Amino acid sequence: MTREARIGVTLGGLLLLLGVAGPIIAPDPLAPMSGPLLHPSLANWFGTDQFSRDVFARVAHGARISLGVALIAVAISTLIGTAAGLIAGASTRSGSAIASRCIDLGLALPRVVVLLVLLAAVGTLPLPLFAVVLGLTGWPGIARLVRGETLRLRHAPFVTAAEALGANTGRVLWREIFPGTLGPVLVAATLGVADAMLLEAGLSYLGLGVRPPHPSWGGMILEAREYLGAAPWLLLAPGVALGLATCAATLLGDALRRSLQPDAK
Amino acid sequence: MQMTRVLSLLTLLPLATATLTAQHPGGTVVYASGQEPTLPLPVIGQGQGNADVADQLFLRLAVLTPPYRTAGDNALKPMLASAWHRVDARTIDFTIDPRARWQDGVPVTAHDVVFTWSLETNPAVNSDQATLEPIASVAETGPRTVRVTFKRPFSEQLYLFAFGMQPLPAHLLERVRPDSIATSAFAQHPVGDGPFRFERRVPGQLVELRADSTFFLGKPAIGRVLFTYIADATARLNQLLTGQTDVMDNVAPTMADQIQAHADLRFVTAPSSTLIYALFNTRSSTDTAAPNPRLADPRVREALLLALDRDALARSAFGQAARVPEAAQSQLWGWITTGTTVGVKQDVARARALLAAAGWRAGADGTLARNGVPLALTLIYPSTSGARHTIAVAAQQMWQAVGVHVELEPAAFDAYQARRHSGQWDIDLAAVMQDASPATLVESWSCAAAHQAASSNVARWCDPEFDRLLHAATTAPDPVPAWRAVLARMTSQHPAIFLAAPVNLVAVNTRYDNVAVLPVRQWLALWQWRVRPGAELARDR
Amino acid sequence: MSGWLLRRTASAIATALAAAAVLFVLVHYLPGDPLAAVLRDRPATPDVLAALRQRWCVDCSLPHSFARYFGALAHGDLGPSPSENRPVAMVLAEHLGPTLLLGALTLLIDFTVGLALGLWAALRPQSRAARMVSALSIAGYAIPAFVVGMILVWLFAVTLGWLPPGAIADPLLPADAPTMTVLFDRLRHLILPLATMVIATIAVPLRQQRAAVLAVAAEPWVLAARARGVPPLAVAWRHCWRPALTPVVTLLGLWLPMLVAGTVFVESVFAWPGLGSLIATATEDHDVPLVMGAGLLLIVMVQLGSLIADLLYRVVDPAQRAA
Repeated sequence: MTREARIGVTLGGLLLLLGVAGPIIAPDPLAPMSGPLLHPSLANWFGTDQFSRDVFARVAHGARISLGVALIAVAISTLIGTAAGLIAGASTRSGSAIASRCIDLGLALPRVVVLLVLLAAVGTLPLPLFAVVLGLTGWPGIARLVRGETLRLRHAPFVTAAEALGANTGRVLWREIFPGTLGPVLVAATLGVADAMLLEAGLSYLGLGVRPPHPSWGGMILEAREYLGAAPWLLLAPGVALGLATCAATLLGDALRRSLQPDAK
Repeated sequence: MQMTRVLSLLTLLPLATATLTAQHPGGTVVYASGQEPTLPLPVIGQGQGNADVADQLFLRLAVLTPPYRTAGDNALKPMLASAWHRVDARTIDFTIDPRARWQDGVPVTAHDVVFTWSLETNPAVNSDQATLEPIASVAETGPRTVRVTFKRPFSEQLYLFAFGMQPLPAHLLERVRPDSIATSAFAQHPVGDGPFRFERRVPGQLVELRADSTFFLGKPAIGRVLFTYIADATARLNQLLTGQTDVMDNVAPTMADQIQAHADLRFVTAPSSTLIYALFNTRSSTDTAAPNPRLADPRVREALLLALDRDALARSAFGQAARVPEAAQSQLWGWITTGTTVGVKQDVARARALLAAAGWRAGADGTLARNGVPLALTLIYPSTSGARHTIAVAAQQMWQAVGVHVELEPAAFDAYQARRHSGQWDIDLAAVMQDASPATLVESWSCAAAHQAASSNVARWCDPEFDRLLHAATTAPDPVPAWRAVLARMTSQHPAIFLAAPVNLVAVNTRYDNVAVLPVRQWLALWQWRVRPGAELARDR
Repeated sequence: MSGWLLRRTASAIATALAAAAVLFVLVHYLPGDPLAAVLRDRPATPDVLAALRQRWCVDCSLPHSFARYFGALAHGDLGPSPSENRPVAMVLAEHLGPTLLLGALTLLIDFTVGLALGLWAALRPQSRAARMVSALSIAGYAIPAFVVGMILVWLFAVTLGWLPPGAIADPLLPADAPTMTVLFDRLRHLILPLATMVIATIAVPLRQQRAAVLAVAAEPWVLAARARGVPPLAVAWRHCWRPALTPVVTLLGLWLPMLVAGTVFVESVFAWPGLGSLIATATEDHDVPLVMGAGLLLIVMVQLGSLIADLLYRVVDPAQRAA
């Protein structure tokens, strides 16, 4: 394992620990503490915000929310993307042509614009639905990747052999090609987690993300920006947490890519 | 090291550029607007950003002066109209000041007023027809005299027409099709009759105005006004703190400390027309044909009011100068009540008792319940409003303390508007900019509005007694007690929790004298500001 | 080649139109009051309401308004913007320049400085400085651009006062200022937003380039060249960089959507009057024609980007030309 991979694993582990154990030891993220905008102290590790809420508790709960939203979103986009990519790359029949057009179409629509239009019109969504919407707009990238891999593998000797033995297209797709695409998909999904977290933060920053008062890192940054001079911990705590989480996902993704392509080291 | 050198070189440039300005503009005001002034014409341009610039270019017939009392004729002072007199209870004659000139030299005439009236009443140009409804006709009676006839007698006739009318030059616009004025050459370079003339517009950046030295009411002491466009409030604050701009309006209390600490900035305040309230929906949020199952009970509404420390909420969102009103009354309507009334204070024990009397008992996880149904309400507000977000989060904590669970559902502004009109909500954290006229209460609080589709009475609140008092007040010979009775009736019915009537906190550079910020149209007195001799900056020379 | 280009262009146009159609359908079915941007919560009499509903096609069916919009589009007409009361094309034209300026400069720096740093880092895999640069670039990528922007503004503009905190130009600059002064003023206003955009994006080309060069460096022909005694720089140039360019060119095609996403969040921090902040405010106001117009423009930009990338790909990788 390279040094970067080790850093990624360590960071990821620490954040998971924060998300799992943090909320247990920290106070209620919605309850008022002894005063607003308190400096970091033993009682409130990262200080308190303008509503007297404990910032550490909010960062810890925010880890659950931000990571949770990103993971659900990526799971959905990976599922759809893989299916679409396999169908598009599998054969030359009309079904694959349609799937291929759909992927091109998905790639042509700027994700941020679609999300802005959608969220501005329907208002802030409950958490699970928000994650689903993020996921539904993220699949074309993965689909293109899988389509490419499938096209490459379709002419591999073991696939030709399977077809010669009389396996039908579905079986070839599922048993021979799908396992071959798993590696690149895993890499893309890990990197997708980083993208989804950044996107969630951006949308929350525009007031379109996770519903208050539930803490999400992007929403915390939005609430903190007027206090940058007076209470910098309000911005630094969620900003650094988000940065570390995105870093962890990026480093893990890169490390996975390298371990799956040993010749590329 | 090299980086520092490059940066310090670049910081010297503003000095270099300022000395290049050859025309000696005189005193300069740079103001950052949150909305881009793209079409600064009265009647045609939309929104605050355009109206602020249009106010400098196009005069009103009369201006409203303190105490901003719209009933009667006393608070209006001549501007473009040098005089007016009442013919009878439904007719007023106006005389245009003979000295008034369009900036191309053509005199302003009665024909300009009638022409502008024809634009105002053209639905293709102006969608705001309802406020003009009481006016029957506007006619030229001479080259400089206009006769305005109203459909019925009421106390705000003069305010309605004279303050609202900002004539456009007929001789330049008559040949342009009304619906294409927005794209005409005139819109690119308007010609007005006000203290400032249009110099240039740089899209996405600024509109520059220069003083009109021939202005008939006196040459403005400010030589040039720059309206820049900065959408984001934090970015506007940064512009002010770094000296890029000279003025910032509607300063949030979170920003006040940084401005206070700045040696070159001071605060002035103006009564604000803004009013913040938590409106109760009279309809069920799930079935808008049915009454609201929780809020129909006046005891619940009163308990929700008593649960709140409204002083703390108003202060946290708007600073010390905000008042807590008892009815739909911003500081602008101070002439009705002076605002010294001591209102209902937070009383958690009484709030709990009222809720208990209404049948709500302690349920799971600290939320009250009745017949197994928890006392949970939805609250909507626009996610872009920092002040309302602050109030919503703090109020939610206070309501939870008496066992009422309020779910916050902020949305982008348009989605919020759509939701308000759909009726699918329990509490609307509303902010309105009130008109100077209290008669406009009819738009949001009357039974007539409750029955009208798409009206701003989104809660469908209807109280016939309130309507009766409101109608009486518009024609009352002594309007002050009549309007007090209207507001007192509203207070007693708890249609909403009135949360804050803020002041407009305006930060200005200390080098200006004679600074006045007006309510309603805040920059109408800008042309009378002055830069103190000896305090000029490079941009003022 | 020209046959390929024709076919590729036709397919790009078809894809752009299809994407515009999808966006139109999406916007059509979304909730929201199309008249809100016109009325701004002022009262309107029933006949005015009726006139407005007709003018803005509020009650039109999807096929009707679809035909209306794309019919006008065929004549180059994007319709009027209700919130601005001006033609959409006019509004877009005013906002396109600043975004292109910021985007093009970001692209330029990412693909010159970024690629150079990537190559450098790959050639010195053991160097501490190279690792540091790579790690820093990841940190820049990981922290949201608007947070980076907020911190830069606070530090360099508000606290130190070295640079302006936002906007694209000094409003006090006279209209007839000398070109050099205008250029320097632009530069001063560009530094912070540009730095923010570059910090947020440079990691991708940098790391991609590093990985690609490292991969190529392990190829037998490079090892053979080294063994022959070819100087290291020559090896880097002739044998590593050229072949490693192909994946980077692929990346270029993905770059435009990424820049678009970046500008939406960065422009509002710096009050940069571009398309990103326009889209944010237009969606906020539910200005449907403006959202459609801006969306269309971005869709075209994305297609153009991928077309250019494909073209470059064929230039860089001769094997593709045969296909």
